[in-house]
Amino acid sequence: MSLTLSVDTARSSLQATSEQISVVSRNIARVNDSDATRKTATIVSGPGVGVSIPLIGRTSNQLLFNAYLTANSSSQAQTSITSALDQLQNTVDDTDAEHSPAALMAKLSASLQTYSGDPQNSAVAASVVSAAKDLSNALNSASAAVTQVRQQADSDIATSVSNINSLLSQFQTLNNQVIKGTSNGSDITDVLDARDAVLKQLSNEVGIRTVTRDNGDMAIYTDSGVTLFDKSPRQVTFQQTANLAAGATGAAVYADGVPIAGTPHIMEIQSGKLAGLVSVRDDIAVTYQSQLDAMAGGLINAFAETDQSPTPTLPAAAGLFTYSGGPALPPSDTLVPGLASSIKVNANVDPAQGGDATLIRDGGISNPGNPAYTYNTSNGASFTGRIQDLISSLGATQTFDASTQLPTSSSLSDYAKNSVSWLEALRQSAGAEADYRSTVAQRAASSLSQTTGVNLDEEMTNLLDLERTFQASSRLINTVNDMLTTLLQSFS
Amino acid sequence: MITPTFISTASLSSETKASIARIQQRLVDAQTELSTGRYADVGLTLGAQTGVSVSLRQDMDQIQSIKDTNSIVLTRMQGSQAALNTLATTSQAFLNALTPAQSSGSIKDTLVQQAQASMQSLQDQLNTSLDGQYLFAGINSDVKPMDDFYGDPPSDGAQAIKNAFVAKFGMSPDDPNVSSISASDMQDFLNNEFSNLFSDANWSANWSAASDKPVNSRISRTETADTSVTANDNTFRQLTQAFTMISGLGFQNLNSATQQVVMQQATQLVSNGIGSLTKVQSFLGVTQQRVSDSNDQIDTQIDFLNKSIDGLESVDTAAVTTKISDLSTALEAAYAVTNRLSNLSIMDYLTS
Repeated sequence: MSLTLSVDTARSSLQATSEQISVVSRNIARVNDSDATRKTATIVSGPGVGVSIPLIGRTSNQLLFNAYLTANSSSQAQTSITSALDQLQNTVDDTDAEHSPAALMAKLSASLQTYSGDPQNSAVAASVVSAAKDLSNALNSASAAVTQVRQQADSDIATSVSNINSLLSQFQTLNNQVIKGTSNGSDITDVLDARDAVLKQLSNEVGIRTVTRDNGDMAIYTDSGVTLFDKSPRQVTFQQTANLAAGATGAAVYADGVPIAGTPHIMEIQSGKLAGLVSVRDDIAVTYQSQLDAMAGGLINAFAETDQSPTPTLPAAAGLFTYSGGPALPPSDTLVPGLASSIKVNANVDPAQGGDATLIRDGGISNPGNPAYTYNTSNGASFTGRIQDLISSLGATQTFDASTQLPTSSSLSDYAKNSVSWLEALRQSAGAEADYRSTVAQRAASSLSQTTGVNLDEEMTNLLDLERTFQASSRLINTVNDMLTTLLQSFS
Repeated sequence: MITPTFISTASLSSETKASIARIQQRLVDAQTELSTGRYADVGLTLGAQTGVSVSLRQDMDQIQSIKDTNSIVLTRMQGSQAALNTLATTSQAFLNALTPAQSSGSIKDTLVQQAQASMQSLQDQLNTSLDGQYLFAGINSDVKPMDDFYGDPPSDGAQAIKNAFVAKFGMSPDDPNVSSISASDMQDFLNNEFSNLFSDANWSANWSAASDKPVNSRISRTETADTSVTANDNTFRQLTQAFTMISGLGFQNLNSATQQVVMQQATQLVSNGIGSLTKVQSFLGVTQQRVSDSNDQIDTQIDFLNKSIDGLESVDTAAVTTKISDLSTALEAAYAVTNRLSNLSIMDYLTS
């Protein structure tokens, strides 16, 4: 009965080949899907009859996959920092455009100098006021831009958190299918691909580590070790803050009840978009904001007016620049949050608001009705003493709050200059770091894809082989059939 | 079916896509650099050095404005010098007329006229204005320093002389009886009552609306200087005293001994005045020199600052041009490779 056995074997080969062709077609169908891995159908020759395909294999490389997750998270964190820094850089702009507070301070000083050359001319006085307005507007809008960046980061954190939650619940579904498939031996390769894809997306948001168990079950932890998924997803929570004006702090992100970002904690996450956004919201933008506030405070103090009476009794008062708390002066060396957003040119000196611009020369901006603050007591039209004082005090050394990460003792214009340096240095190093990390992430992605992805040429050559096997098996059956026919005919 | 050198089709095409995007980004930057001559993103390139560039520009703004105001100040001082020169000429001419008048009687009539003309010239020069600013008014530059001595009604100064004269001699200077005033009485009057009219307090009260404080200007980043002369300077008081002595005390009707006293006094005052006028002119000249020195220095500084900013921010155009051509070549190569790769498929070689 060996002929019948041959037919059975050939038939099993036909079946196995069709199955292999179906695997090839699955591979080809997902050739451009970066999440798809290459599937292989392994042929086993059984002890009994013919060949069979006990299971579909999946090319995977856990090491490369983990490397990709880490590299991707760390690149995402840096990318969100760089893009926030680029937004903050708009407040400084190109050095040539001279829109930065530092450049506008120099312009104000220059216009004061021009005024000192022509103090009788009230049009020149008005141009000093307009230079002062440019400066206060620049500080206002820079402060608003910083708040905007923080607000944006806060709302991005909320988006990121809701992404994490939805990815975790997707993960649960897929993970259950994997466990079930593993136990009953069905083909779970596509489910594993989908589960890995979810992990890749999750690594965009937060740095993760995974642990796989025997039954295919997987647990996810943050890079700091807080459980995100173990049998069931853990709730990640975050309360968005409506108004993140200067001085306001944003809420923390909790996973499984543990703070993972937004507040100093031992379990703080290190990477992922979430980590980057939190560092923008709570660190970089806040420091820059405090630098702007210190500049505003320095300006108000530099232009303050003192009691000019022979025996001074009145306190110094805010002059050309004032703020919501004026005319009392803000403390010179401690930070007043929100000063940069409320600094403005005193209405008493602003011709557009009915003020008198020549008060810059004469003094008494703080209180035009009180002669105590008048510097130009003889009312000379070419009195330059006060203007010269103002120019010097813009260049005089002041003490600044130590928390702003800039030298605490410098002139106001140097402080503004240092702030530009601080921002650009940060931008430069963050940009270089982001380039490096994204290159690493790209390399990790491409090594992963090269190892586990599909090559069309290979699939096509496999297809040729399979075609030949199929033809040969069919031919075999045909030949056995011919032989049997010949045999039957010889008996008739 | 793992082969030793395996590459997936997806990574093959994504690699070429990524490399084309990278080259294009660099090409855009290089083109910006070529058109502006500066780095495409100065802040990103300079990093912490950006502050230096900002600070150089701050300095530039400041010294440029000092240079601008210096040119205004210089113009004003030149105007003052011209006025002082005219005054010096006038005073010298008056002195030249005084000397022979003391010996010959005939010129005495014209002397009064000359004194009047000189006084007129003095107040005209002290009232010189430039662009609405009175040059000799000190910081009260919006006020005309000298009232018209010959105006109607007479200026406070003219009135004060007349009052003092009447108080002393009991008659007006216009009275023909002034010939009876003795030389010693006149000498006494000139030394006390008359000279008192030109004291600090009386000068400010009756003659000049100028401020004692001269205009002070910042002429370099560290220096300030007084850049005007005020009409309250003793020079102008002496000259006024001399001119009005001849023109306002009924000189033509005085007896010749008294005339002699007045002329002697006037001669002394005018020659002192001319001397101190020279001092005033040289004081102003020194300041002019300082301002123009400072301007020269500023020119050098601006030059230096421009070079420093260029050194920080500008790109080497030749290098950028080479870079652009390199990048274009690389981009063309990348396109060619992409095209070849997409054509290079086993599908084309499989025949059914």
